Amino acid sequence: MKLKIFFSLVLFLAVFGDWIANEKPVYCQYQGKAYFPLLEVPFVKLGWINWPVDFQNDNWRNLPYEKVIKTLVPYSPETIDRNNLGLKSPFSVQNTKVFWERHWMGTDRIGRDVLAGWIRGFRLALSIGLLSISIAGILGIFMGGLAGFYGNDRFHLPIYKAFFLLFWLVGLIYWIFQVFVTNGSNFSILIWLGIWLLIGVLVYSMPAMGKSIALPVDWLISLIIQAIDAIPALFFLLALLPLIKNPGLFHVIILIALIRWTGIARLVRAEFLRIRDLEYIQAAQLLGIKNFHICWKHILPNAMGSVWITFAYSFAGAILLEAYLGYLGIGMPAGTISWGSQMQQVRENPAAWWLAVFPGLAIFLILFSLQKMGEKLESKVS
Amino acid sequence: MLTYLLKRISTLFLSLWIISVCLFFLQKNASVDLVMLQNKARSNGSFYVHPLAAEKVYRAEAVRLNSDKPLFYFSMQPAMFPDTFYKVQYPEAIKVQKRLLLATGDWALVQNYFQALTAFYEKVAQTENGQVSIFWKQQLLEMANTSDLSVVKTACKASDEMREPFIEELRKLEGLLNRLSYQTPSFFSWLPSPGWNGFDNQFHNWFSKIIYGDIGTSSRDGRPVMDKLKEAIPWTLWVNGLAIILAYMFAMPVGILMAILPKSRWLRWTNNILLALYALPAFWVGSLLLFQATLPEYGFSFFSISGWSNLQQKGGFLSQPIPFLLQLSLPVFCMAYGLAAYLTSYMQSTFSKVLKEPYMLFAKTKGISKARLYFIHALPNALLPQIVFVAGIIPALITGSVVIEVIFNVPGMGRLFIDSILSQDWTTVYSFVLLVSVLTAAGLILSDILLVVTDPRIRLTRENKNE
Repeated sequence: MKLKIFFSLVLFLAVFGDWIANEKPVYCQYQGKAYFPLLEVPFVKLGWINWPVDFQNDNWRNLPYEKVIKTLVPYSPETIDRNNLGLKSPFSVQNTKVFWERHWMGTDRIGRDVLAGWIRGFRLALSIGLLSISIAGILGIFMGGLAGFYGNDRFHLPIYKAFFLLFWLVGLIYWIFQVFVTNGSNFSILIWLGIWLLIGVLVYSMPAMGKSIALPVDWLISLIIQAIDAIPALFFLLALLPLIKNPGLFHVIILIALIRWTGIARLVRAEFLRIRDLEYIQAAQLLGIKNFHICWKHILPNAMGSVWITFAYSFAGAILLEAYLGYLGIGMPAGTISWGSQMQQVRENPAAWWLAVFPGLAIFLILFSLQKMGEKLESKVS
Repeated sequence: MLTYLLKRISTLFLSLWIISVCLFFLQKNASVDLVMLQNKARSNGSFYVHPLAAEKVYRAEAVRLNSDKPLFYFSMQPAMFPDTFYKVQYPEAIKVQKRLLLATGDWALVQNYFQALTAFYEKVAQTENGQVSIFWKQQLLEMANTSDLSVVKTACKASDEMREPFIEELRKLEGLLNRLSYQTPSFFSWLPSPGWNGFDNQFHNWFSKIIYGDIGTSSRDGRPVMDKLKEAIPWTLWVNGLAIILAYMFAMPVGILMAILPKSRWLRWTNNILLALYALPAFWVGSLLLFQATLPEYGFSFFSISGWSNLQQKGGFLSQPIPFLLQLSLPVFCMAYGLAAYLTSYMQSTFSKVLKEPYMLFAKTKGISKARLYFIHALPNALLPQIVFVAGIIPALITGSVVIEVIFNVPGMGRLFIDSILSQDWTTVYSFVLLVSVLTAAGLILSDILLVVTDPRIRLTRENKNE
């Protein structure tokens, strides 16, 4: 119950954080007209509402409003407060007009409000965690299910088709590589790719002739899993991210997903291996139900119980990885404000404890409650 | 058992081979201009190659670095590429020639154009200053740096007077440029032409060197990576080893105590505290400790985070154990507490599992004393999984120590890794990743073997069945 409240609070901060900490006022009267700057942003971008020129200078804090209702934290994460430059402690004397506008968590070296950045951190951590884990989950369930359901002896193919498949895969990789090399702008390569896909479909749908062999699906997927597992996650990320020319959040998410799917896949594989030999699955197979339907409707729901637990732990791992990256300052897009990047500033200014305490507290609380949730799920499953 | 192990090890080698192929290509993809970098380092940052001479310089360097060979055992290029395209070494030339080739599909034409361009620049360089204005000559020579087509085009369109001294070369260039801009590759020249490069290729040479323990030299300062690692490894071993020992010293008694004591509110709280300790990010605690314990303003200045190399020169642990341990205490503490929390709950669960075994009940009914019961009968059985656990956890510890080493300035492997990334020393980075993945794989295998050796009941049959 307490966990639920905590997680909904975190989710709330992540979703509505930009409305809680923003330099744009909720309501203001300026030069005799009423505006709702915070809510009007998308409409202004669309051109439906026109703002006075003063609003476009991003100088929200110093405008002479006639009436104004500010947000709870009247600073954006990027706002530079020139009056409070250079690491103002939360308890020190701050140069703000109103007591309410104090920097409750202090400021960093260039005068940005730590509380606003801290609230932004929720969105970053949660979006990286949730997105990467859902991608990893889809990939892991797919690969693990494939390996577990077919094993090494159930994926039968005629020999000629198996050889053709190998040949075709090499070709496919070549064409996709060429599409990337030419940025997908070369027309003849796109035609070739289409032809190649068509050939694959045609040959695959040809009737089975001659002897068939079993493809070692399980062996192949286990090999891939083993290879990825042999590289520790942080090393994997740190070695790959600097190679990307303009790293964005998208790259971080994809790479974390590429690391994290193996754990989920191993679990799903084991569960599928166990369940596929149960009697009700054999009965379903005898009834002639299609393999996909069996996996989706009959095996997966029973396998998911323990998969949710790894989701909780992988989520914690992803958040920690994100914090590491921000802290080391490698791989995250430049200028991203996250808990890790706030804590990184402590390395240069060891006395600025507020830059370390609050972000770390947020990470700790999320990790702790995720562990707690994992424990709860575990006791539920067993 | 033996067949299982052999199978396991062979797939392991296969996956390590796959990893090294990936790392090799990443390294090739990432490497900044190696020749430029090394020559700059050698000549204190004042290295400049004229584009005319570049190809020659780079080719000579390539022979030295063994990179004048095909990349891999086989290659798959579009049919329009010549088999010997890998022989072009100057990065700028590779970029431009590739772009031109993809746009025109005619290798002979591209080569002709480049020869004409070289001839033109040589001519410009040879013209005496009286023949042509200095400014114009300077401009033409600078154009050699860009190898940009449009620049050459503008040179061709200059007035007759200005083109006069090298009009022939420019005419030839112009003709070739026209041909270049009209030609496009044919539909079928995009088909792959697979080729077998034999065993004398860059990957093979690199990989066979690695097998013999030579993992290359740093592309930053030319030092062997092995030397760098040899300096760094002892520190990481010290930190991690001490952390493991400390964690076990805490986990054993507390875990056993928690398993023996009856369930109570106290126990639940201890469990929660352990969970919290495990969730407490070490790098947070590290950075908090850093300012609390090292700044004189807070009164704890006897921990210091500098002077590591000083400590090493004086002979390390043996000559001055107390400053040595004091210096290591903060990073070791940060590494240890999370591990200790995890190991304690692990110890508790294994010990209470053992306590529920029938033989323990039998021993109890025989009337053995409690101490004998716990320490002679239960403890050895509960210890086995712990031993297995250590082998699997070492790689994870190395990962964890990256951030801790960066925080506390420990000159260990993690710091080396981060420093190499920041200075774009990709040879070191990827040799390092390879080394760590070999260690991880070895740890996994070792924990499997230990599992079977310590517990003869395990025959690994379930996994055998599915293979």
